[in-house]
Amino acid sequence: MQAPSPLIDRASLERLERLSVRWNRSFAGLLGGRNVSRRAGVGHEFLDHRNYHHGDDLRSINWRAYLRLERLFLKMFRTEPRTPIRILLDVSESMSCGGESGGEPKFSYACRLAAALCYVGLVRLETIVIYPFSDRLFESFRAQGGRHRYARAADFLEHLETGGKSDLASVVRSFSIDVTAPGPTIVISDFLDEGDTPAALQRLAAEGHELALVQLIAAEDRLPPWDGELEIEDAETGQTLHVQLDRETAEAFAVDFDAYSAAIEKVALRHEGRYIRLDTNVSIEDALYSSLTRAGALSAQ
Amino acid sequence: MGLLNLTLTQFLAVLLPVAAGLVALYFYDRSRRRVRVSSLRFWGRRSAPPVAQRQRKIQQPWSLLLQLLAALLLLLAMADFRWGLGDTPRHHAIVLDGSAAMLYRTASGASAMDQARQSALVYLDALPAGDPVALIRADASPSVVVGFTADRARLRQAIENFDAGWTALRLDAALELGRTSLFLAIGAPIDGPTPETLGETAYIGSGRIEPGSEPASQPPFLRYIAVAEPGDDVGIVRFAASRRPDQPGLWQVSIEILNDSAAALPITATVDFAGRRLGERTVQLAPRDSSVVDFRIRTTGAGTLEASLESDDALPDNNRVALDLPAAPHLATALLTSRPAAWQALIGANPAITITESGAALTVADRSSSSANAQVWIDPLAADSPVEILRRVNRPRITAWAPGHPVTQGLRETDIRLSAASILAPAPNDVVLVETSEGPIAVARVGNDQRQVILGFDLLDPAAAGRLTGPLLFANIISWFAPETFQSVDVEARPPGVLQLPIGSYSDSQIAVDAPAGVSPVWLRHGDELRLFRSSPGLIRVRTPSQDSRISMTLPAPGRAVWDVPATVRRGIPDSAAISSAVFWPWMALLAVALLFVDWRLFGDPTRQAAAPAAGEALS
Repeated sequence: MQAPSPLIDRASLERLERLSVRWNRSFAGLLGGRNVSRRAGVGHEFLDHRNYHHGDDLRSINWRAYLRLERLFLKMFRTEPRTPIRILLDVSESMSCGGESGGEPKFSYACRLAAALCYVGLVRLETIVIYPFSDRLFESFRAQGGRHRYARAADFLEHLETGGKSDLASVVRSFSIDVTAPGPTIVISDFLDEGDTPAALQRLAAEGHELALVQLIAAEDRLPPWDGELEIEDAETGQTLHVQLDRETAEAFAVDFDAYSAAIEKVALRHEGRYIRLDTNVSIEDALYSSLTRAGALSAQ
Repeated sequence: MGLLNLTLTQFLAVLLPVAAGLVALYFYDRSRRRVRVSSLRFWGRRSAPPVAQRQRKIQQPWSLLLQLLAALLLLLAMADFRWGLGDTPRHHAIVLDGSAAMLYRTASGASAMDQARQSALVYLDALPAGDPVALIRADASPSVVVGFTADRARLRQAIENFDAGWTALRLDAALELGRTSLFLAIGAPIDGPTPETLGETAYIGSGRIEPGSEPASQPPFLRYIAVAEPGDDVGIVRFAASRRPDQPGLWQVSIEILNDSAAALPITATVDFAGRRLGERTVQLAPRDSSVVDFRIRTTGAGTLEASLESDDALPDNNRVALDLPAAPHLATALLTSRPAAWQALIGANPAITITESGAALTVADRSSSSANAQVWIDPLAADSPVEILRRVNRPRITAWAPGHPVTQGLRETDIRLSAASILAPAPNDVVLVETSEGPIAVARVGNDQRQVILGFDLLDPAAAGRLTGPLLFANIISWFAPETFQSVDVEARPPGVLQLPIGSYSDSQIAVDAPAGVSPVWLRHGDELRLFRSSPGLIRVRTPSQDSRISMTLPAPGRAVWDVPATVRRGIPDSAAISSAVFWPWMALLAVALLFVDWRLFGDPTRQAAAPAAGEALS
């Protein structure tokens, strides 16, 4: 399964420009913290001009301005944050489920949500790193340098495909090896794997990352709409199970699901993180402006 | 109790497959379904043990029952289930007007026949589906089109193919046929009391009938479904042309025009022959009055004589009539004689005869030996005669004329003594025409394709001068060879129906009746009158030795009288609800929908089954 194209239309993107990604803690090496850095330094984003002083780097002189004004001006650039915002995006096969009872499949929803977060971050000159994962980490994508870099990020997301089992424990191990500097980390997943997901998230938090856990659920994930004799097939493993489902069993199923979600939420809250459960019936804009903002993962200016 | 739109067999034939389909769909829907989920993480814990054996049992019997009941109710609604129809089907007779009155056009452009057909179909639909119905054609000769049957498709097709005829309606005969058919269909004596189970006789038409055909008694359960009242009509009711044999170039033409409207009208009749306008007359006609307009036409050629009226009325079919006039008879005769002046009187008496030297149809050899192929031999020489001459005798006396032969028709004189005559020796097949005391002196011979008359005496014998025998014998000879030269010709256009034609006192063998484009009609003699009946348009030709009548029965004859409908006759198309005591189909349809809704709410509404938490609600 692939993400839809385009992920988010231009008008919706423009409405997201009031948002910014929030985090609470300061991380070593991060210059900007929750705010955009105003410190001039080495970077790509033009910040301002100042008069040339002896000893300044001649490569930064604005020669065009000199030809017009016969004065030397030095171009200053915005210093980039050192610690990026990392998005762990679940691309396991279970994300292809959903949409049978309305809404859309979890995977396309997750890609669109990741694209929206990426755009919000790029507008604020953040560095966004997207890590697709299933039972392992796939090649990541780094986006930085402003909103005009969004197209490449969207292109990256649009070419993702679902596949494989989800194994968050293995992914966290790999992530810990690759990423040594902790930072704000957004995990977008249904967290439906057979392993000990809360423990894996616990480990991720213990390594100093500030977690924002976005659990995507389809309606049938929590309360199965079916009735009678069913042959249940696991989307990831292909394993089947014959069950007799009635209303009482389905409601018990929902209780178990809610307990599992509470365990994940508990991990996030225990480490000053955030937990957001999103139903794929909700539009992306509503999720950003309502659920994520209310949970403190985003702020509107 | 019964079904109005379907028979019980049809109802079951629809219900059983629908019910079977519902049960099959039910089992299919309730059978084990394969669904794909994100994870089996929670499924193994709470759900019931896997089903050991795949069984297709009814898991929601109330759902199935509700669906079957809804299907049954819907079908009953479609079949128009009724209480109170009774168990015995009733027989009905639809007497559909097929007379010429149904040719009238209404203001909308449709014909009265179109409306009658539509009314018949509506009436048929209003009858209970199981009731046998017969379709009877009502015109001058009523007939059963479709016998009693419950096959609605066959009846509908017969009604849709029903066309108006050209005769006037004899309503008494049509209704009597309907009544008789009904009584016979239910096995009741025709003269007995009316059975209670008898259905209706529904007359559908305009009520324009032939004068004098009002029913003397009203059939039981008679219904009158009126179609549009015929509009005003100005038309030709008879168009005739006649020619006498003594004036073969003169036609007497008469047109009878009827003003069948409520206003006095000036009517202009025109006559054209072979595409040329011959005359035009305008007559002022009072309401319901008729008039005859005469014309005289001089022509010896054949052509189409057409009469037309300048009228824009409701029945255009009788505003224009065409007749084919035959050419005047012409007999080219070669007269081989040495005394042409003596023949002048005989030849000149028949205007159809023209003397010619080549291409003759008839050759008369008067004592001549120059033509061996002559048909008429007058006193031939012994060496040339086609019949052997035994001897020549003087002053023989005629003793007998052959009875019944066309050549001697009307000749009975036996006191004629001729100057001289040859006694002939006729061949075995020859017919002796004239006998004398000495032997035969005239014979007629019929060969392969040729007729011959041999007279052994001089037709212009001075001894017989002043008598009619000679000219009459010659006229008979000519008539035997070319009868048309002595026939009067009558060409006439008139409505189909009964034809009464004066034919004189000829024997039946001398009368020929044929229909050029169909089966020869059955006819009978009534005194000096020939009678026959024809119900459909066509051409009848009646020929006698003196008359050739060509009758084109192609003029429509709408009934000129209006049926005075008794007050006790039911009128109009009945509401199907009136036939039975109770109508249930709307309620059954509503109940079926309600049952389906209940089934959907209880067993099929997914929104009741999945009560997800508030969408998008953040639980952090």
